[in-house]
Amino acid sequence: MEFFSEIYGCYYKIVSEILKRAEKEGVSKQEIFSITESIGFAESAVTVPDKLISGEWHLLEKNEAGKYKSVLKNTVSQPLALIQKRWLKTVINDSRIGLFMDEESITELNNVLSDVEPLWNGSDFNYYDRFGNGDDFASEEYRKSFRLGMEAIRSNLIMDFKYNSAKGRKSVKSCLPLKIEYSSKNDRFRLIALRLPVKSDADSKPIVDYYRFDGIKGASVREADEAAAAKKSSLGPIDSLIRKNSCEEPVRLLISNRRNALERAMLHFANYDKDTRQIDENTWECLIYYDKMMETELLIEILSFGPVLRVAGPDSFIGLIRERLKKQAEIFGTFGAH
Amino acid sequence: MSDFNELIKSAAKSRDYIRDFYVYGFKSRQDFDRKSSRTYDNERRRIESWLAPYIKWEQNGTVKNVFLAFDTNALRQNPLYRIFEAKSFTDNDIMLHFYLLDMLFDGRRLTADDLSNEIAERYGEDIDVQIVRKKANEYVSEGLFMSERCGKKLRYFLSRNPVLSKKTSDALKTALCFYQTASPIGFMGYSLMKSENLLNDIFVMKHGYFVHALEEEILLKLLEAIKEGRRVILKTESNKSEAKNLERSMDAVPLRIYVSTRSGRRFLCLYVPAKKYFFSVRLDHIKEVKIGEKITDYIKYRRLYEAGEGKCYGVSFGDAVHTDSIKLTLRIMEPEENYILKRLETEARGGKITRVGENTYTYEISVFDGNELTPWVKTFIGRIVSFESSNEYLTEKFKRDLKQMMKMYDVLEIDGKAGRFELGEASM
Repeated sequence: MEFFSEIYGCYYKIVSEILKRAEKEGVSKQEIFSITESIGFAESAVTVPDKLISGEWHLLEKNEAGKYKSVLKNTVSQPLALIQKRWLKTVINDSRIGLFMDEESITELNNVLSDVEPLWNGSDFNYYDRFGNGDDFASEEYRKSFRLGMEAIRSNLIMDFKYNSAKGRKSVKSCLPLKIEYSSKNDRFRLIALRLPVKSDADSKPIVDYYRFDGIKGASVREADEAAAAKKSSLGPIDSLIRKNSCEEPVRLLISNRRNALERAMLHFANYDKDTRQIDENTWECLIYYDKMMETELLIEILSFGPVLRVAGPDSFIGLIRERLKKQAEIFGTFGAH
Repeated sequence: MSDFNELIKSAAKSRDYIRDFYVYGFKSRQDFDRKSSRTYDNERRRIESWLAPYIKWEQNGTVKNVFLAFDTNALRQNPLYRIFEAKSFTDNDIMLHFYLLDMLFDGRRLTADDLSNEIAERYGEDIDVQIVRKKANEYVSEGLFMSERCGKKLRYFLSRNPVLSKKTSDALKTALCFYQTASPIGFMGYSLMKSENLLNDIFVMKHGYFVHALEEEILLKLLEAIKEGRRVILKTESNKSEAKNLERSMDAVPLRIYVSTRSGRRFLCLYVPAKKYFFSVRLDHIKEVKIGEKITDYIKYRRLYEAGEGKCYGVSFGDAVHTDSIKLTLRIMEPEENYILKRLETEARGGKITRVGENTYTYEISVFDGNELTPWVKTFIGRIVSFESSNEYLTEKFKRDLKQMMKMYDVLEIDGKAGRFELGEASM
């Protein structure tokens, strides 16, 4: 049971796609290159087409029309490997699987995979610093909201619901769901959605909101009106829209390589878009591009490193650190005197 | 670089280079001191080929730094899985792969001799029967084929894929979109999505440490050993600068995988019988895993470990005897800062929280290694009334750090009130 195997490889995938297209009338040389470039690595086109066309990999034969036909008699597909089945068996025993399918489907999958062992048991992992108030994935209301959220994203529907915010505020919301975000640290899902109603003028900036699924109650979906649908289709790639919340100026960290700080910081902040360079023998500069909504989170992450990290900019972020330290000094001044 | 090839035999070397490119992201050609410059050039070219959309470079004087950059919060899949799509193979491997799938199509059951003969007839290729048999047996162990005995010979046939109702199949496809990035060994989900030409159109990850992908091959072996209760022989190498490139070997009982969702680190908790202690080793420090013999009393080690686990704040067992008691007193203004209290409760990890007065709360815990707690304590800077510990070293280190931070940000000097205050006088 190999993890690193050519059967999951990019070249096998390219060849499989070319063979499928080459079954009847065959494929042209140009199509072979085009499929290779669309699926392959940046330099795959140097190798794969030549191997196929030259016959070194005797899988295609040139016909009278000058096209290349598959030598195979059938449309083949690779059966699932044992490791893939075992991984599926593991996943369907995960506590979150009920968000995606009902009990009937879970039983169906367990039955068809009854002859394979999961790769691990839940107790083999300990997420030791995960927050203790993760979502209740077994809640029927939660599952319903989650499924409606997925449906709304795929079918461009509007979602209406009552919302209980983390701070206890209640409101009624209508939005156009875009994505669902999962945080492993919080063990929580949030709905990322376009705020409604949208302003009709084309230049108005779309507003993206985040809703915790455990705060969504009584959700329903409906067809999007013309203005909302037009706005969503004008947004461009949703992924870049989500990134638009990023601060214009990154946090500039100076890292002194004491207490293995450089290595710790590089891994700790690996989930951010960042640029790092060495500026002298013992100091590195790291620019972290972050979402404004995550500012407080980033701030306390930086504080947790103590004096081995120093924020050198922007001034607004330095101000946040100083504010906390001044408060701390004041507390010591007050309490220390007692 | 005439011998350049995008594909590789083993992912081990590239894994280390990618980690340096992605996690560090500031290293230049000169900093890669493990192997020759030629090796570096080939590795860099491969990484650029696999991960072209994520490659950035920066000219720093005469030095060019090449690095990988991506924001895990906005990606549909983990780009680092590309490395596992780059396994090399021979010409015979790829031809046999498609020939065998073609010949065994539609439930046909054939011996290695049949297959070898038919390859010559159908495709005009002369591939030795031993090579055909080896490949067929390899695919049996991978689960792609099954075999049955027919007299003295084995007949091979294709494994059947599970047949699912449309409802279950659709739901599973959506679940794959999530688990391919959220689950350990997510590459298997990624490979399933690739074979079905699926795209993740719904999920994004916050706090996702995509770099974990690089450890998955190692992790899979460890999970196999844990599941079967087997010993492991680990070859490890620390990333700490003072111990860099220092390889160690360790014969141990693997017990559990510890995952930090905040620092990005993952550990194997293990027991070292020769030294009779519990220990944790970072997965990214493990270079090689060999699975050893089955341990008859594996459950005993697991129970022993579970008995002490409650005293671990993070992953350190200290000497597994002595504990550090810690008492943190915080000022939390009621009711407007109740969200801080909620945060304290959420992150308490078994510590006791007590309201000791108006706007004042204590958090008390006793753990094997109090040092693991101090980064978290520092996240409350601005609210800390006192930090006390039975371990004097911890309190002194905490005071020193805080004082240094205040100096670093000019807080001691510029603020009149705070400036008069000496940290040592505080009730810490």
